[in-house]
Amino acid sequence: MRLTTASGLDALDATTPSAPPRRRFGVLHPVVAQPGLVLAVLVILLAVAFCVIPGVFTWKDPYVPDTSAILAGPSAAQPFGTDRLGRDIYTRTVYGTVITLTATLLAVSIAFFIGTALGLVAGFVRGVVDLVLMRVVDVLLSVPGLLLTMVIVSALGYGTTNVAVAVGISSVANFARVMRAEVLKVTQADFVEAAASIGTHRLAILLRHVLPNSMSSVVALIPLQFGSSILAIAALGFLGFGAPPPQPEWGLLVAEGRDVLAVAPWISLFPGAVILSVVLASNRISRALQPERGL
Amino acid sequence: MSLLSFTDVSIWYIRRGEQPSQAVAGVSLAVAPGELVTIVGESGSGKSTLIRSAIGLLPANSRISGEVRLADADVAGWSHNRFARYRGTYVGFIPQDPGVSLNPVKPIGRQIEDALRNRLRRHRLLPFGNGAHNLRIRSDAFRFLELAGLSAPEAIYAKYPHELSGGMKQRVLIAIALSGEPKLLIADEPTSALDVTVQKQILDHLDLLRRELGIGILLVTHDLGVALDRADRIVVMRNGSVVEEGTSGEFLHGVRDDYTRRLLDAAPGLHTGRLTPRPIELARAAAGEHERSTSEYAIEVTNVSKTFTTRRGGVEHSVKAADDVSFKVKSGTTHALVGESGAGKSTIARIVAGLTAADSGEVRLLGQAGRWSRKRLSRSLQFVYQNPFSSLDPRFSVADLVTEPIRVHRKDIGRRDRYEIALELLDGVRLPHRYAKHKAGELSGGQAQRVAIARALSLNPEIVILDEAVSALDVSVQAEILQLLADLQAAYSLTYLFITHDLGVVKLLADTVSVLRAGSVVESADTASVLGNPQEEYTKLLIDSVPGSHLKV
Repeated sequence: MRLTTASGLDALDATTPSAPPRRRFGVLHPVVAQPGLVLAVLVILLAVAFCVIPGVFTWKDPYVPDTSAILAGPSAAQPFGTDRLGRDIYTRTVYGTVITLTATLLAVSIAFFIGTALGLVAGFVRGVVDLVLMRVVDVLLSVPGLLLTMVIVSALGYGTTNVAVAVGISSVANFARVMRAEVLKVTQADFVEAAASIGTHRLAILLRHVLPNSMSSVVALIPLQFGSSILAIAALGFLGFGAPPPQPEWGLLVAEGRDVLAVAPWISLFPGAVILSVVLASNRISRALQPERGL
Repeated sequence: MSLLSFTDVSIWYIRRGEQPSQAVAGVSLAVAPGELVTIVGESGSGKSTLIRSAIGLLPANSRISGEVRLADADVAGWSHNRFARYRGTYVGFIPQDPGVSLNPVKPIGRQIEDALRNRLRRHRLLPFGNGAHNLRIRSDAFRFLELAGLSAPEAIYAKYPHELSGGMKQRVLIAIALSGEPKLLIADEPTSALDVTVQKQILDHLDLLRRELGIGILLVTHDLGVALDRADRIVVMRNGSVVEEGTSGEFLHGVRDDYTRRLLDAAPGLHTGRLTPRPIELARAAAGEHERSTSEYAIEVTNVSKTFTTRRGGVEHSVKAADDVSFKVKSGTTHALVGESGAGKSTIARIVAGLTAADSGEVRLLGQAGRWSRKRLSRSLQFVYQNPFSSLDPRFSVADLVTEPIRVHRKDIGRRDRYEIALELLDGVRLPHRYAKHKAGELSGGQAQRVAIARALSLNPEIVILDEAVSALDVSVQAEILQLLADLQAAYSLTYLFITHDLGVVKLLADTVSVLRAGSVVESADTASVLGNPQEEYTKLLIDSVPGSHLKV
């Protein structure tokens, strides 16, 4: 008996045809099968731990200058090196996580709740409401995101909270679009018509049938939006719209190393790498959450 | 010497993180020149997987053992490229769904010429085409279209797939399969998506090709009637293995296997006479106690018309879905609306159910005309959809689905009581209690349809409209559901309006029947006289086209 792959790429050995290829990794299987996802979850968990218990990860103070170690390169004592005032970059990055991530959380919540509500109403009510809401969304989408947030921050004033609100408002459009499309699809389903035909109230149909069934795509959008919100908030911090200087906000950390990039690249490089890995991790999680398309 | 032989073929599908699942287990089978072999099986029996291994179209995550012999070569596990020299020229493939198997943005003629060019590339003198070569290909394309039974190939040569009917598309696919002049045709449910009259034409044509060209045909079908009508040899598959093999004569004069026996019993086309209801334990749903109407006719439809108008590119197209339709249904009986796709049966059902408004005409339900409020209507009339998976909310549990109408209508019945009622209703449709907490997506098609029926009965209605309610199910499941419907009708004295395209089903369940064609009623009378002694040409044609109807069991 031969046992070969259908594509003919490689032949597998098996003693009997009734014993097909065995499953390989046992209990650890999901970890080994999706190492990227596991790594992404670990990165996010670590970032959350940085927020909640920063003292466990570093014993130094993020604000106290140390004149004995100015612009010191990465070493065992200072894994990310130090800045112009001798402050430890690693410690500052750990303490800065809470500022950036709470701002991101606020931004994503604003975008999620407002966007989902708009999309739900537009998709379910249709007619003029749909037309007006979607044109507003189109306007939001037609202005470049960063420009829009800068305009909003300029109007609201500087500060982390205002930056978060601005980023949230500028990404309302994404959630509204996806939600509306899902709602339109779900309202076509037979079970919505069936619910209507037994005399269910329109609001009950909306809350019981349409909302739960159209949430999955929007939920998958949350981590994705989380990643891009981190980027947007860090970018605004870099430009000086966000938290004021002594605070160790991530974007600000990158900005502080700008002038000395040639002599002390680690000041910008390591916080930048942290931002990158958190954004990548949240994008990977978003992909895992996406509902499977196609039957 | 056989054209194709499977010897002890087993096929697995492997998937990351799961146990490999075996789709085919040790099947042996051969097709000789000029022979028509059918593989019959229900969904999940591995029939499609098996034939895909013979044309090298298995997906990459499959593993195969055993021997698949085409001509002189064992092709099991060959790569796609290696397979190319057999595919088309030695074995032609007719795919299942003509609607999705043709490229929608290419004219029909081009699609056939592509197949021809591929084959003729080797015999070409110059590395590029010339006028003579193109002319030859074009005339070949015409020849094969004609061979596939399309009498005017010039007319469809430049057309796009969406401009053709389903039957014509299937013929184009046959023409493409024939264009390599294969010795063997493999057809995967070639007629399942088509109306019976078209199905008959296509199958007749395949028969003709077999006799005239002497090619072997391996036909996969779920319809035992088709197999018994046409095949030299029938192979019944179940769960990946062959349970019975024989000629259609042998099948009709006594089958050995239990499963085949059940399939034969279940095939509606082979049935005579109406289903007899079995007694059912009456589950008197607490929610549904209201007095029954006493009118003689439960449904009276008089002169109902409905025209759908669509606007495409500034031009209005209108389709008459219902044209002056009238019929009456006596209380406690079943009336069937039969017709082919586009006959307007669903439109009429939806008008009766109040889901669509008629342009003109009158619908009297239980002796009362006029507009019914949604709530009042749903207490007397319920609608069962064709596909239970789309009509049941995938996020609800079975218990919630079944009692949703009660929750809407009777605010006084609490959650716990509703659960009790749900269990009673599940008893009524013979679904075990343990399914009450499952979601609809976790059920099989037959179980989900039982849930849909239980839901329809939860308010104790008098009329139930069944829109192709059994069409998507396997024959054996279909037989169970039909029996259940008959039992429920007797127990709850229900009136059914039964929409179907399958005359076999009509025979089993309906007291009276209306035959519809293009929106109007062709013939309407009691079932025995319409089916036994049809007056209209169209009814005769429909009856004649039901596969297996000429056979005597």
